[in-house]
Amino acid sequence: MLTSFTLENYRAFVDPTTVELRPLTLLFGYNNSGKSALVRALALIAASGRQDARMPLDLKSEAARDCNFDELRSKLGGSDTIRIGLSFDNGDLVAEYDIAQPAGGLRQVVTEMRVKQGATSAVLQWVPGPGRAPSYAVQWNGEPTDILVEHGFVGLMPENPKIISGDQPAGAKVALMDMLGDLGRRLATHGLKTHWLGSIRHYPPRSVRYRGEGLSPIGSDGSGAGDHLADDKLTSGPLLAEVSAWYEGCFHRKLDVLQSADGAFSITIEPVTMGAGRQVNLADTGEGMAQVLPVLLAAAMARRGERDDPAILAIEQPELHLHPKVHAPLAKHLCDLAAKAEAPPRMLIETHSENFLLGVQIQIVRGELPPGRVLVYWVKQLDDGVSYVQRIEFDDEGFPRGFPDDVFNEDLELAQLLLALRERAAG
Amino acid sequence: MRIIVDDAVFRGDRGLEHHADLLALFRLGLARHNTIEVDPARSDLFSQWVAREGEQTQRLCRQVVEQGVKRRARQRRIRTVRVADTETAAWGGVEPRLPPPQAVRFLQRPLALLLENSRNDRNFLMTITRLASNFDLRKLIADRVIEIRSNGGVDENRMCLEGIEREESYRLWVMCDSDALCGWSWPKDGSAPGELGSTARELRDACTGGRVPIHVLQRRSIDNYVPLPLFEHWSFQDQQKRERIYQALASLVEDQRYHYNMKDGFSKKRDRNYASSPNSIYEGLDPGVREALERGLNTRDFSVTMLFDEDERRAKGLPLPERWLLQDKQHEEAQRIVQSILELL
Repeated sequence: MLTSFTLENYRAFVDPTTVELRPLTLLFGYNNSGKSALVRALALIAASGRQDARMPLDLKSEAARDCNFDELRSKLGGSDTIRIGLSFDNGDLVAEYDIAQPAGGLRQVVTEMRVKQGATSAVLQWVPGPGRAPSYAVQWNGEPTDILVEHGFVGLMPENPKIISGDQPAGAKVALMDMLGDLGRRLATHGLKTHWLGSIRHYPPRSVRYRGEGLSPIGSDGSGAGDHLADDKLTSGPLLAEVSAWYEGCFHRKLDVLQSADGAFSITIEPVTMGAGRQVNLADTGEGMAQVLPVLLAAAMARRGERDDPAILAIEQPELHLHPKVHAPLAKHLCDLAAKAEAPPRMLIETHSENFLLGVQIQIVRGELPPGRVLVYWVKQLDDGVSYVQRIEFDDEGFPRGFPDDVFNEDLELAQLLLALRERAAG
Repeated sequence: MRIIVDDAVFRGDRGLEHHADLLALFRLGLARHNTIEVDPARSDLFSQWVAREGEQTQRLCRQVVEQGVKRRARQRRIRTVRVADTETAAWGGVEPRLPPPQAVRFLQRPLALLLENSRNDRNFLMTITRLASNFDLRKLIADRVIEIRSNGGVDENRMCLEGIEREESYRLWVMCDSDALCGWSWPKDGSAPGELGSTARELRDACTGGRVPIHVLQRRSIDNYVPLPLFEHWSFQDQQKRERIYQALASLVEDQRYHYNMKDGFSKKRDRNYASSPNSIYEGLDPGVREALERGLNTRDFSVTMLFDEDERRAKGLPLPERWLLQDKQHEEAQRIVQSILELL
């Protein structure tokens, strides 16, 4: 599994910026600091690990929001390349890519790739030439070699690498092929296992016509959630019950999926205590009720952990449209998932919610979430537009050590100002 | 500072007697970083006392208490004072117990940052703490929440810490150079590669004995926190042709640059002996680089630490953007420094 990623010269992150993916990693910061850029970078990396990726950084994917390479590359750093680093399974395999789009060209080129596995390392340096597939000169364990390897890229995955010349040092050719193959497999797995939920989510459809055919992943806008719940209802799976339990705990409302006579499915909410016949279509409920559904569903799928379920969740504003009162219960729900004993997923979550943070702290103090399972990054942008992250660990008492002073005290500052103005007005 | 107010001080005549001090306490809670709570939290005595106040004061007191709850949720406070219905202060025990008038006087005192040099170290702290969000050391000093103090040197600071009263220790934070010749860490497992200089070690021990928090710089001294681009600007504008020493400095790896004696280079005995020892971090250093670094950067009219002085920099037209500090990887230590100060406020 991907356990950290590093960006350099990417958007406002000019200097190397590493984001470790713990079971729960939270991004806090003021507006326009770069939080969403980090979440979407993870989504973009995931998209670039899929078999249908069309370029090293798949700018046709949703996470890129139709940007071009130059819009992704920082203008503040003076470098033509974007550097992406990926660390799998806590450094078991590390890959770094320098990606450029040569002037006048439309194609991205990986100008250098560095791969490290255990004590073995390889550097592949692009050798510009007329061939269709790029050629790379290989350094092996820090030493130049005579090996020239040729391969294209499907996204970030080396495609059909083959040695076109050289054979020294002995054993390097086979080991290099093995390493590139392993990287490709891990990227493919990562790409399929990452689920991104953006901050603009679609309202739920009034009904869905699910016929039991293959399920598509939930979209970044939450679309497709109805199909998954319908499928779960038909197969008596665990998802609906888990999602409903959260609504029941927070709102005393039960979530259900009903099938009408024409075969369409609708997602409904009904009071727990009132009995059947009081169902309201989710599309007719408060916005927060609908907006949180894909978050809960993605979490339930990650908990289920079947072959096609996500292992990495990248979520922008999970608390969208929810009253602050239920932010902490939502945090608890995700903390429970992060505390899962076996194979917890990795969640990267962007939020502005003080109550969400408090909810996480409470779970730590209760002993329900080991502090090592959670991490906060405070994302800050300097006056010159460069962004960086401050890493903040929790201690055993749930204190986020290094969290900026007085963040979230804005309400008190405003109240103080109000009091002062009143006093002044009263003479 | 965490202030717990026993609700007995609000009782009947005592509440009237302490009225001015209690109001002053709450105002200190509003204006400073202190957190104030009443014990017990839902105290009838406090409610009755506050109900006699005007609307503005009632809101002030409730807001201060509420603000304290929020601050304590996120920020650890390692100092607690209990305001009690007592005639005399008792500094012993787990929590010092102070009568209201004494508590007000005590809490009006700024937190002292005890530094080796009140000018250069202050300028360094001003610079590095810029990397911490929402921490404005200049304003905290201007508001007298914090003051900079120095007794004239590390030895003098150590002597002042020996036998320090608890009252004094509660308003003190110390910082010093490590004087380490190479990377060091707290001696937890005995495998630390470097070790603190003897003065730093003695000061740290004095702080530990007096229970005063100390931050020992991770690098050798504040000089080693001048980012390379600033050196570059300075050396290329300087009349004395310092390009060579800048190039030599820029060629060092981090551990070398973080522990090189910027003032005197390898010219003093301790550095000369270490740099020529077989296991030093300078082993294999290019002879040309070694020669360029032999004498250090300080001269009769220039000290590296002057580069932290904003006025000096302005006069010389030298920039120091935060990004240079960031690229020099100072943000994690800045965060630790600020965190340890905030824990005392």
